[in-house]
Amino acid sequence: MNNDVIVEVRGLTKEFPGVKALKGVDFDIKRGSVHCVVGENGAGKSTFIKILTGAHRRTGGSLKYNGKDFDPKSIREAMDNGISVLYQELNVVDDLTTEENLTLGKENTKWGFIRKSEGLNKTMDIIRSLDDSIELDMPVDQLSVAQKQVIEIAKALSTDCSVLVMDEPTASLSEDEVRRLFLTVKKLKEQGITIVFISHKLSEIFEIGDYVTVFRDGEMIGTKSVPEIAGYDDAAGCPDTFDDATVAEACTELVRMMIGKVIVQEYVPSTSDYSTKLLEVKNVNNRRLKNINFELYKGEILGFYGLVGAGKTEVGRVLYGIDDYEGEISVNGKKAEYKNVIGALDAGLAMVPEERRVDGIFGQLSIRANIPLMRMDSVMNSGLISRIKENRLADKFMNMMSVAAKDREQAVAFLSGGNQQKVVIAKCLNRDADIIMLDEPTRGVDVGAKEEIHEIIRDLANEGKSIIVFSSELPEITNLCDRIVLMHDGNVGEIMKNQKDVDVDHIMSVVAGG
Amino acid sequence: MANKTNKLKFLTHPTFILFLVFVALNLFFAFSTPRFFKLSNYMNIIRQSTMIMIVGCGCTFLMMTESLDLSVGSNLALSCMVYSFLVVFGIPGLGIGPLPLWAAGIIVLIIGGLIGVLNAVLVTRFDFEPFIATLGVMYIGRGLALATFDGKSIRTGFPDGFEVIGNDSILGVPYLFIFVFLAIVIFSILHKKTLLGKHAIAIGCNKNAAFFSGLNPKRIVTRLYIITGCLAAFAGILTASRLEHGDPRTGTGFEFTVLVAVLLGGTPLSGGNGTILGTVIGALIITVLGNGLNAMDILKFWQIVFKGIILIGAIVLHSQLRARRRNALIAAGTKA
Repeated sequence: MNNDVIVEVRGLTKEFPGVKALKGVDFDIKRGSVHCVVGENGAGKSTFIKILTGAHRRTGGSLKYNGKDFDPKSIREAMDNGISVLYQELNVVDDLTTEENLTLGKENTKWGFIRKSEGLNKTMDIIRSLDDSIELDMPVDQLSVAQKQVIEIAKALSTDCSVLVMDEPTASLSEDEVRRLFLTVKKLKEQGITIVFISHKLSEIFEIGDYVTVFRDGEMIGTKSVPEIAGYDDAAGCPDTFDDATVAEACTELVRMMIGKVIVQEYVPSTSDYSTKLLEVKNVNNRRLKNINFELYKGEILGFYGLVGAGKTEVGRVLYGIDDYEGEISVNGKKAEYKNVIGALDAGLAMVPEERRVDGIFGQLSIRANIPLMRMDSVMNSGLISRIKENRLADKFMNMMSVAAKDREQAVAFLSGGNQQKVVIAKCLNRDADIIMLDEPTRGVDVGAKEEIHEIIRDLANEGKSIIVFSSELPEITNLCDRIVLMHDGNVGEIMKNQKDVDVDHIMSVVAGG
Repeated sequence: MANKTNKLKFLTHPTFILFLVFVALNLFFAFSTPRFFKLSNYMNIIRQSTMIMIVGCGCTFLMMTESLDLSVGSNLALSCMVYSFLVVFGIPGLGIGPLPLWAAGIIVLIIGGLIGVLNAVLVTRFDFEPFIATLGVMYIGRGLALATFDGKSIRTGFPDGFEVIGNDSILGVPYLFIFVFLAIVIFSILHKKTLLGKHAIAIGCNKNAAFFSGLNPKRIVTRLYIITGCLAAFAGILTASRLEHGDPRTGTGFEFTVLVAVLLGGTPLSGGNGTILGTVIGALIITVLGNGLNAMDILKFWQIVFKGIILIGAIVLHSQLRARRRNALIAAGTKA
């Protein structure tokens, strides 16, 4: 292996207003290697990628590319210097043919008519070397996602790319397509191209990776060679493929690095009533979920924990009537027949969605107007909306949750993340549902507000509400939940009871797939 | 500083600024021509803007939800024709003679509502873009209006009382004014005080959040199309009565006049915002512009040019105001 360093990162920082996304990161990417980058949401890996590819400018530190300082002002500039990205959202135009896609934006024209491009043959050779089933005149919408990726890769390579960043390339591929993509990656590596590979599926690292860098909270936690992670002292004694047990153990080690030390704070059990079963999920399957079984009791906080992509949100979507499923869900002892959100709400389930800005708040509307929207009759007086009742309701929730705002007329879009989340929770609580689901209830919320929101959730459970929390933050789960459902790759790995000295290592090994 | 901005906040409110534009326009015409600033002319202006305001009430709601209705003009024409036809000829195919005014009125309102249903089905069931769906219905409606009496107008044979609601007054107040006033009051209440208004705004503001909150956008939009269809039909009845004839070519371009009034009034095409009062002022501005330019003996062609300029100016004004408001709020938010 060539030990020459192609990208050298030293003390790299990036600050956004109010947030430090990268807090001084150091590591090297070796020429011709497949370098994996992992980390949970918000760990800083995408920020790093964006700086490398010219989408963001760094605020401090240095980044050297081929030994020279490198600070691309645009994606174009990074591309011209040989750093290209294969985005998760592919940039192919479905209605055009392969050829038209390949020459898009650099068409060779004469008198306004398009002529055959000279560079095309070269690109076509690249495509053929990667996948010989793609023809020039094929409309792109007839190609599979993996084939479209090949086209994008070829486009990148035709601009003399030497570093190719792949952003979660396997996220929407079938198993078979993943195999083919990995073959492509291996071919690229043989051609001496350096691959920066981002994935949430940790086991993939052990199939194609040479090195792995773990990010957490804007810091680089470690950069190790893959044999090292897998427990081999040097590459020489390391086999080409790893057995399942080794991979599982190594994944657990990676998860430990990604999540860090979990300080189990004071977990206080809720006053749950385990004789009253409110929700029962039996053998639920769909595109993303495999055989999900669990129960929820009155006054209980049930936590769903897993890495990104493990299927937590998908469980929530099934329960909330959004996604189709096979299997049986019973609410309050009755089989759930509902097929939409309105039905789920009527059955007694309410949800605080994951993406607060996109799915939660009505940004232009005031706090007063937001809170009653899930149950308008709470502010109605003989058929008309009563401003007095609206004000009273807003004041009640703003006091209860100590929402920091100028007044109740302030538009929600202009509140801080934590206060927006409180408004979304208030809107949901006003529905007075028996079962309240919260998807990532404290993502992007500051520490103080986080503690307050946790307190609100505990109070609700003690009042007899049943709560389901979906979270990718382990401390949140271990501090809050009475029982924890551990998910991995669409499966329920294990359902465990929480306690003060909960075995965090065990949790990590289950969510890593062990 | 904060206090001062609070007290003067209404000065930057879009509706207030729109009102200033309206006043300025009046002053301009008052000084330009002696024929403009007269009570009789103002009565005329309100009369001319009646239909825009009545139909505009429904269209404002639709546009709050990010929809729109281009079929209102031909709906108005069809209603005008059918109403005239029913009271003059009845339904000859069924052997029914001339209908009384009230019966013809009810039938026409139902037809208007059905046009709303057609729009709603296309938009909510078949996921047509509102623009395309209502454009199609606009042509259908215009064609039917022309077909009603072989493309001709109905000018004679009207029963007694036909012209009353369009022209007469009660205690010195024209019926038309009363209808407009009622429409404004009813729709302002609907906007501020009912589920329909709150949900319409919420849907236009954030479709996803509305979905997760369990609102039913399709039902709301359907109701609004039906309401708008009925309002257009009612405006058709008033038009027939006011003109004292059924004209299949009336209301050509009316849908765009309403659209301009609503946009002027501060309801953006992207929805989530808007007031009935804004639309009313918007309708008055358009009418005063036409009326004033007429009084100045400026040719119709130039009036159309001015209408376009006013529309573009209004959109620029509103987007500027919105951006400024947003920046001010963001600044206030980061301080808090």
